[in-house]
Amino acid sequence: MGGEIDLATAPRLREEIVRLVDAGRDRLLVDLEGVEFMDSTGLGVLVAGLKHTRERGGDLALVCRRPQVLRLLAITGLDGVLAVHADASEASAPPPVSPG
Amino acid sequence: MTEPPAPGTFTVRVPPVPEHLTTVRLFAAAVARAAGCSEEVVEDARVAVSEACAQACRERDSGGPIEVSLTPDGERVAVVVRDPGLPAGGGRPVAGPDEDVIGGAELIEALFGDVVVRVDGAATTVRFALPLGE
Repeated sequence: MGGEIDLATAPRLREEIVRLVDAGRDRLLVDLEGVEFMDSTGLGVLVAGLKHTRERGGDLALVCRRPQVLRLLAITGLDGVLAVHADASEASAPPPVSPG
Repeated sequence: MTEPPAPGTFTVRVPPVPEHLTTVRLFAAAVARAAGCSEEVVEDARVAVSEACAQACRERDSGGPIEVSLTPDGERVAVVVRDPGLPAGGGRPVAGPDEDVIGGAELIEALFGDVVVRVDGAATTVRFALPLGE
């Protein structure tokens, strides 16, 4: 993913996550490496996505090294809720958007 | 926003639509950086100002512009976000707040400590300050 995830763009992420989960892909790895900015709306979408996947027995994890996003996750306490990996290869448990 | 920091207040007014949040963030970051804030503070300022404006955008989709003012005074940068609120009888809520995630004033407080939110009729004013230097 790239660009900015805020009140204007978060609905697109929400729709994509719902689409994938409804298609049976309930183990999601969301790569935030190209994301330049994220606000609380974006975090809300990720948490909702986590709940959505777990309801199906799946999971949702993040790939992120960007300080702004990591700091936001820490401040909001979501670093204890959403698994964050430094790169996609480290996050081998949930393969990137593959069927669960 | 390439002019050197000068006494006075930098102000931008934007319609309360989410698509303009990017512009507000660029403005806030430019003023904060020019005033001498560290890059970490500049990043936090982007989040805080964006959160304050997003709150206004969540509550309405019409009415007067949101006004964002930054005033560097050599020791800090005072930030004021004024949202005039809905016009009488107009507008509608655009999106509810996310209950699972802290945001808005709560997040600004987590970033910068003191934040003052004043509600005066339909209008809301959010005030906080960015530290200068390290």
